[in-house]
Amino acid sequence: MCGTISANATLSESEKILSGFQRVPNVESLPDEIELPAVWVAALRELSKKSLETNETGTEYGVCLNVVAKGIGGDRRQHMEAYRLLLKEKSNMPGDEFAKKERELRRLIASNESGQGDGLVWNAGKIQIGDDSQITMKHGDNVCDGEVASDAHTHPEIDTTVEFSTQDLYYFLKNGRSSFFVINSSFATCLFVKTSAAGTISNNFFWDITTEVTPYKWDGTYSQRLAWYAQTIGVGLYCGNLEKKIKKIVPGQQSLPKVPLEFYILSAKAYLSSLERLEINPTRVASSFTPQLDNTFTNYLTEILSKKKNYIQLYKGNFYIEKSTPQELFRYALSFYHEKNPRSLRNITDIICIAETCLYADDLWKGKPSKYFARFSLATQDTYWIEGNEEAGYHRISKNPKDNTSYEGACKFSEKQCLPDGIGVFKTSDFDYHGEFRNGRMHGDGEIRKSPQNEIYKVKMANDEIKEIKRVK
Amino acid sequence: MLSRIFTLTLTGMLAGWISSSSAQGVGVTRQNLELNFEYVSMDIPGLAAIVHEYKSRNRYANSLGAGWCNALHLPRQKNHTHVAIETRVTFFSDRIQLEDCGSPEQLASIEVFELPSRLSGVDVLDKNWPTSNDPTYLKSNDGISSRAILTENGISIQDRLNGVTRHFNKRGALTAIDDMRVTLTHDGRIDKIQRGDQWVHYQYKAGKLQSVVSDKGHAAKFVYRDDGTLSEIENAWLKKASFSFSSQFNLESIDYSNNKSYTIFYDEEKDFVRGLLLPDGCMQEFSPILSDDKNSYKVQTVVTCDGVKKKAEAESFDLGADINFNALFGTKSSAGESGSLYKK
Repeated sequence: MCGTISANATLSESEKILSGFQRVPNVESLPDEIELPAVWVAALRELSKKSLETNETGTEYGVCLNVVAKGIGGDRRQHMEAYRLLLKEKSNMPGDEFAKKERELRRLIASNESGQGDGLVWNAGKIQIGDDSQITMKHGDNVCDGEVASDAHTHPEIDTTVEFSTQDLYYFLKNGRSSFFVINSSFATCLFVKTSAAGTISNNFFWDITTEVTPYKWDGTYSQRLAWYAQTIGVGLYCGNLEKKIKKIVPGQQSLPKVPLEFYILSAKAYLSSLERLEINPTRVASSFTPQLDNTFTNYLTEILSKKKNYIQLYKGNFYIEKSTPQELFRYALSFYHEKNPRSLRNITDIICIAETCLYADDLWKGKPSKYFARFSLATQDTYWIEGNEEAGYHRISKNPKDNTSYEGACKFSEKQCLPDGIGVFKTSDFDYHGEFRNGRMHGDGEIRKSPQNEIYKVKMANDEIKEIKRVK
Repeated sequence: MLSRIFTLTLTGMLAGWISSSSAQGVGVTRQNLELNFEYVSMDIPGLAAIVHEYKSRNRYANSLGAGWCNALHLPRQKNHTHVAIETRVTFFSDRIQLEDCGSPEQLASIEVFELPSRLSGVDVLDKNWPTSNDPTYLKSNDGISSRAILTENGISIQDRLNGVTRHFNKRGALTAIDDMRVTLTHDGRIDKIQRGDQWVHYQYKAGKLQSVVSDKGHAAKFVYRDDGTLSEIENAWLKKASFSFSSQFNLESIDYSNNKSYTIFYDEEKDFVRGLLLPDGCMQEFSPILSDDKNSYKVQTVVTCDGVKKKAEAESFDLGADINFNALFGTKSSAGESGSLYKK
């Protein structure tokens, strides 16, 4: 990507912010519109075209956006190299000849003919390819020269809008860049911009954004709500189209949409499950990935929330929120878990609650394909719950009320899903299968039990098909 | 979704500090693209190492020339601590100022101690100056670096980071460093540093340091060109280092007798280092990006070894409101006046 040269050391307000020269004190001080450097716009346009592929396959693409010192490289570097070679020859040439050449090279190195002043050049790296729903940006000499001021990546186009994910904001807060772009195939783009108020990441970051921002995904005010949340942590949000001005999103403090209590229960369980997976000997407080207050979870809440007097009334097996909101209540409970088990958020597994489905996944931060460890949809009541680890093996409990089936037993990860593999029990409304599974299918020796007749058959299965069968009862 | 961050960091420190008797270091401070160089000409066990420091942006000029400042390295456990000995305290009506290697105008290192209201306007020779029965304790304005004690004899300033205390008389002249007595020449240069029967004596001729001699008879010698610039130092181990300077008195090359050499390139108009050629053939190229808002700038560094680019780094600096941008990159107007102390 070719660079263009800005006016020498004179930058517009937008350029100062994007290059990192200026950090305004807070979001309110950010300009209403931001104007992107032409080189960055060109790079983002190229990236937008790659988004067509993101729409089809989910593969994300990215590009680093950088600023390079005008004076770097070019003739000056060549003169310096010539000087180095001259020094090597010093002992083989007359002193006055060396002195003459030495002076001339010094003059060339110091002169402005060698450089181009002390301003900056806007630049962009080559387009990088990521994976399904994620990309790990590479930087460094051969990818992005100078200083990386920003990153941009693609998201699939959904109703011509483009949205940042929770993980995007987390990544941006962790790094030192001044801005961060997301773009889709319609040239729609949003960018986060840091202010001086952007500081450390709260322990409650994931919980807060899940419960304070995610529920707005369905009422058309998500961007305003995200802008509101971003403002609370010192980050400004701009959205627009590359063809037009990119405008600051006015933070919205609209009332929370009606969200069922089950959403918060599920979110809290997802969050706790993520934390528990980091423990060597986890204290299980999220015992099943359903939106019910099972005994283990209720006991944990009872223990923690009883410390917050006059706030809620607790009853065995249930609770009644007296003077609080569900997100505040669970936030309080989760903060105790953090205190007891302080862990870097960097290592937290990924909690995702979209629509009325929550899941928690692993490995998102390791640049590997995600593994889903739990998923529950309030709409379909579909439950999927994985326990165990790589060494001990995984155990799956899943129920699908729609077709009245369930599985409990060993499983093995194939990309994101842990498929039945090994010994397990598959139940349908017609029969139960107890036996061997492979790659998600009944495969090997087993028994089929039919009720209500209570008939039992020994079977040999191959890819869900009965190859041999013998009635034993 | 996006994950990992690749962070470029760089410390901007010297290329090769060595605390042994042959200590020498050459490097470029990124924050102001200034060359830093230290040379140890003698090490007196139990007393101190004799150090000569050069900073390319410092306008202070001592008996070695522009940008030079003499110092000691005092042993501290496994390491040493650097203590400037060309230092003074200046008294103002509202504050006391510790100045190492020059005045603020000469881009020296400055620490400020605000005086309590009861001492404001009190002259050091005034009868209201603190007595030994009524010492006054002051903290430097940054609150952490140093602590000062005003007594009837003058002022003692302890660096809280390295624990070294320097004592000054009521005219602001250095009199002691910890338990080492310091005497100055009539024109304010270091004359002798002594602890018990151990001492080191600085000898001058026409305002130029000619030699540093110890009580054991060891000596370091200094040679100058006609234009007054330092040409050579022969240290107490009889090893030589020679130097060359530009017409703007910037140190351009350092050549050791073992054929190790450093070459430095400057933008002399703005007075910063453009490049540093190291003995291993690697070249550090520095490029600043100056902002017109005068409180922040960036420095990008590219390292090239034998003509091949090895690495590139970038660093941003926010100077804050109390640092003068022009002072960081400006012309060195008074650099050539070698031999004068604390020009104002």
